[in-house]
Amino acid sequence: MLHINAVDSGANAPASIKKSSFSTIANRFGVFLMIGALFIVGAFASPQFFSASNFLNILSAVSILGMVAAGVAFVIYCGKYGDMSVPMVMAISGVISVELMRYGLVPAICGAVATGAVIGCVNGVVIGKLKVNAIIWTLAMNFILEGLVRWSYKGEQIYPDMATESTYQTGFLLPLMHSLDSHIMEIDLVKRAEAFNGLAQTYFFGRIPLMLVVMVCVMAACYFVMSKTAYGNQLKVVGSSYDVGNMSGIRATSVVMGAFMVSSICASLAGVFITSINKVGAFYVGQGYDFQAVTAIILGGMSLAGGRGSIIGVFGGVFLMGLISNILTLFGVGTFTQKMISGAIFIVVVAVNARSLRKLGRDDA
Amino acid sequence: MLKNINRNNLISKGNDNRIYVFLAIVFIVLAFAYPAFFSSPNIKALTTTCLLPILASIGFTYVMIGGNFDLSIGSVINAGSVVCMGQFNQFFRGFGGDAGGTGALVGAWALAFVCAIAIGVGIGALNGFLVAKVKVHSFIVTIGMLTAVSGFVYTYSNGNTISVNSYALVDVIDKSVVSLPYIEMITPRFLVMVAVVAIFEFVLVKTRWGYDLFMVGSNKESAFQAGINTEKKVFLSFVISGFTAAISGALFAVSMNAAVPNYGERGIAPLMMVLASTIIGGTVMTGGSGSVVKTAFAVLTIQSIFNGLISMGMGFDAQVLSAGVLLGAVVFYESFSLYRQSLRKGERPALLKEAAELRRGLSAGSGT
Repeated sequence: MLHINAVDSGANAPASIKKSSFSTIANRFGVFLMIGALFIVGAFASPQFFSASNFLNILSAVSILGMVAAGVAFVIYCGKYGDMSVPMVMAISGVISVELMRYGLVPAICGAVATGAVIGCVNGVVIGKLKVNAIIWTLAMNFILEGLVRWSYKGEQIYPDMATESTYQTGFLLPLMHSLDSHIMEIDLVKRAEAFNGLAQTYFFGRIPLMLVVMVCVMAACYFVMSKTAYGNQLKVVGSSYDVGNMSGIRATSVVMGAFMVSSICASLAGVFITSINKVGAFYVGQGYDFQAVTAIILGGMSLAGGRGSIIGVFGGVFLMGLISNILTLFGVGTFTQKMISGAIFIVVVAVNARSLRKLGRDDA
Repeated sequence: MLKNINRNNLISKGNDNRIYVFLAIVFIVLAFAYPAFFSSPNIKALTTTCLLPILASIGFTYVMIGGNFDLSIGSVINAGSVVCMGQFNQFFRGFGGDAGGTGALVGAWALAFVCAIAIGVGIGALNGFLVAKVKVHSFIVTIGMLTAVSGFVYTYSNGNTISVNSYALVDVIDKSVVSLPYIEMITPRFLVMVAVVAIFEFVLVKTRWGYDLFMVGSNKESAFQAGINTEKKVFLSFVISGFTAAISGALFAVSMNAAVPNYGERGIAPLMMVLASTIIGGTVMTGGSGSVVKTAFAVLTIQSIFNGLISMGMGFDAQVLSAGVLLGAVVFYESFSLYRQSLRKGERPALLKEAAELRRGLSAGSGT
C-alpha cells in the first residue's frame, strides 16, 4: 500500500487528488490490509487458527503491549520519536504496587499511576521546556530509574506474599510504612497477595480477561482524547510543527509535557498488570516493551515525523504484532528467530515508509 | 565587555576539558577514601575493565560527532563475541583440532576475528545505508537493529554460552609485557586498545576526513554546500562504529574464554556505559564536537568511580545508579546551557550596548 503512495504523485491534478485520497485511505488502513493477508496465511497454518479461543489468546497476549503503545503513541504523535523510559516506569510502578498492595488493590493501582505521572511530568518538563533530545533524556531517565530500583532493593526481587522482618528493611516505601504503621505485620498478606495476583487471572464471562478489557478501555480513552478533544488537536499541530504550534498560541511546552505524562501513566498501568502476571516485582519486567510499542505504532501507520496517524491504526498495529507472533508459533518458529523477524519487519516498514513519504516530498522522517 | 568575553572563554574552555577535571577530582577523592586504589594490582584491574567500553565507545563517538546515534552497539558487541567464539570452534575443528598444532590455532583465530569484524562492519554498513541513503532517523534504525541483531545472536548461540577449549590466545593477550609494578597493566590487549584509540584520534584531529566529519555534524547543509559528501561520511561513521563494537566484543570474549548472548543484561549495559562516557567526555549531543581520547578518559573516570564503590562493598546496583545519575546530570546540564544559548539567539551585544547608551543619553537629556 505504501508503493501506491510513491507512484501517485502524477502530473494529472484531478486524477492525483482522487488517487491521493485513495492512498490516504490505504496509508491509514494499510495495517488492516496486512492483517487480512495474515488471516489468509493463518488459515493455511493451522485449522485452529479461526477459533474464538485463538483470537482471545492473541488479544490477551498483546494487551500489555496495547496499553503501553496507546501511551507511547501520544509521544510519537507530538513528534518526539519515542519514550525509552517505558521499561523502567513499568518496573518501578510494579514494585510500588506490590508495596502498597498491603492496603488493598485501589491504593496499589493509584500509587503506581501516581508514580508514573510524576516520572512523566519530569520527562515532560525537561523535554518540553529545555528541548532535550527526547530519546537521550528518556534513556538517561531509564538508567537512573533502573539504578534506583536495583539500589533500593539491593538487586533483589519482591514477591507479593513475602513478609519476613527483613522484607521491611529494603524498598521505597516499605521501611517508611513499617516505621509509621506498627500493625503492618498483622495484615493478612496471603489473602492480599492472592487478590493482587488474581488481577491478571480475572475473567469476564469466564473467558474475557480483565487485562483485555482494560486495554480496550485505555485505547478508547486515548482515541477520544486524541481525536475528539481540543488537546488532541493541539497535539496534532505541535506534532506537525513545533514552532507553528508555539506561534499560534498553543502552549507547546505543556502539550509535550501532557504527552509524556500520558505515556508514563499508561506504562505504569501496564506495569501493574505485568507484575501481577509474573507474581514478582523486579527491575527487568518491562524489558523490550519500548521497542515493541514503537514497532506497533509504526506498523499502525503513525508517522515518526509526528501529527499523522490514529489510535485505531495503533490498535491494528498491536493486533498485527500479536498475529505475527501467533502465526510464527503455529509454524513452529522459535522465540529467538521471532525476535529477529520482528526487528527485520520493523526496519523494512520504517525504511519503505520513509522512502515513499520522501518521494512524495511530504516528510522528513 | 572584554573582561566578560575572557571569562566566557575560560568557562567554555573549562567545559571542553571538564573530563580531566572530573578525573582529577575522582582520583583525589579515591586516594583519600581508598588507599589501596593506587596499588599496582588495582590499577591493573581498573585498566582491564576499561578496555571493552573504551574500544566500543570510539565508534559511538564518531557516530555522535557526525550528528547521529548508534543504539545497536550493545547487540553488536554480543554479536562480535558470539561469532568470534563460535567460528573459532568451527574453524579449529575444520583444521584438525589439536592435531593441527600452532598453525591450526593461529589460522582459526585469524579467521574467527575476520568473521567477527565482518559481522560488525556488515551491521554498521546496513545502519549507515538506512540512515545516510534512505534517510530514516538514526534512533529508529538502530533500535530496530538492536532487536534484530540480538535475535540473531540468540539464534546463533541457541541462547547458550559458547566456550572455547584452547587457552593459548588468552595466555598471550592478557599476559603483562613486563611484569614490574605499575607497568604490568600493559598487556597486548591494552596495547591494541591504545593503538586503535591513537589511530582514530589521529584520523579525527589531523586529517581532512576528520575535519569534514566535524563539519557534517555541526551543519549538514553547509557541509553539503562546501562540497563534502555528507552521505558517505555518515555511512562510514556507522561502519566504524560496527567495527569497533565487534572487535571490542571479540577481544572481551577471548579474554573470558567464553561468549554469552546477553552480556550486560543483568549487570551494567554496555550501551549505558558508552553513552554516559561519550556525553560526559564532552561530545555534543547534536554533533560537531568531540574527541576519542576524552571519551576514553571518561570511561576511565566512570570505571574509577565503580572501582571505589566496589571497595566500599557496593554491588552493581549502586554502580548503575551512580552512572545513571551522572549521565542524567550531564545531559541536563548540556541541554540547559543549549537552552540558555537558544534564548540569546539573534542577540546583538554591540547593538544592545548602543541602545542602552542611547537610552541613558536620552534620559540624561530629559533630566536637564
